[in-house]
Amino acid sequence: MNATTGEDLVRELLGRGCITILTVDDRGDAARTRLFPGGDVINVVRRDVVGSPLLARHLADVQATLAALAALVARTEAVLDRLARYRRVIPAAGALVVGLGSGLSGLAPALWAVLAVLAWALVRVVVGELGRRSAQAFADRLMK
Amino acid sequence: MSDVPALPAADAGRSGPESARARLAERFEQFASDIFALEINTILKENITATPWPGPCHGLLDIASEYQARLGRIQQLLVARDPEAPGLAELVEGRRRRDEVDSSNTASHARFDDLRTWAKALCPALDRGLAGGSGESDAVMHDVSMINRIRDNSDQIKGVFDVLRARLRSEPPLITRDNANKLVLDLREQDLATIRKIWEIGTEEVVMQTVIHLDGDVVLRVRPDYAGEGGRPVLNLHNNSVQTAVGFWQKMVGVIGSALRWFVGK
Repeated sequence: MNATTGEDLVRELLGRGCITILTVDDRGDAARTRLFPGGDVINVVRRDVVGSPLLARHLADVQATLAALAALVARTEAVLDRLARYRRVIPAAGALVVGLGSGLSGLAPALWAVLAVLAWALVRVVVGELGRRSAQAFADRLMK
Repeated sequence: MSDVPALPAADAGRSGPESARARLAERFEQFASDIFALEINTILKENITATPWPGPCHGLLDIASEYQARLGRIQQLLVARDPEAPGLAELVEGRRRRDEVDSSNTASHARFDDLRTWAKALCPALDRGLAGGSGESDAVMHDVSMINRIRDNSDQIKGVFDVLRARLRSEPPLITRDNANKLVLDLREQDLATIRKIWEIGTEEVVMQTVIHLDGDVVLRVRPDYAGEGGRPVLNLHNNSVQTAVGFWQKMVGVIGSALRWFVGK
């Protein structure tokens, strides 16, 4: 068995299309179990291995693989359940954002009016100052 | 045999996150469609070759050549048993002439259609062998089940080529050993799994098979020579595999259930 963790197994499942559990001896492959995504199993066993301790070891490897998957599935389920909880919170947060947005858009005309008054006041101050300075410069020139 | 040019199959223009999303959706669809029935096969072999899965193109070529070789052997046996079987001589002559024209190993809809037709053509001679009670009925029965498997699986592979043709909107490329490494077939996940399973079983003798349907039906097929006390170790092994399959299935259903709970927000 090459893969040991649930993540490795899922990667193997997605990448190669199945999980392979292989047990070898000095004659080569002794037993091979392939687990397919839907649950199908293809078990290929060398005839002389049937009933031997080697086959028992192979079956133990298969069970270990299943246990690793079970651990991963438990974690995945926990994450999905948490996501389901967040999913209930997200619409509320979304409604809050939308409410704030519409409130702000309602405030917009007043904001624009305030900005316009401020801008007009600024223009008047600037123009007045420029006018005052120009008049002063003109008077200074006349007085020379 | 199809004479379509060997062209690399397009990836249907899918790339990036869109492709990843589509692949994920296909995998989910495959999980969802596969969970309605579980199939557990136990195969005994004299030797297991550690041949890794060569990918769909080489896999299809392996299946085609293995089926062809097996049908050839069955045909030879039938001729040796009963050379007078009606239609057999014509069938042999037809196959000989066909092989003279083209004996190359290819994979295509036409190739699997040809294999299916050949398997079907051998059925009458096999039926005659069964009816004759020649004392070799077990061997004939094995041949019958093998012929059935070749015929059914060839149909499934033809279906895969049909889907591929629809996806590509053109004739799929003719697969040969020369272009098999370069071709990228845009297969659906479930079609890939179908090819993989067919390749995995090949023409091996399945000694035990259990099919569990979601509605509770369980079908167990056991070769007669393993049904007795002598077959107990194999039966134990098979039972263990059934438990493994059911356990694996439960885990997968658990994940799908969690995903659905997340989806509906419950």
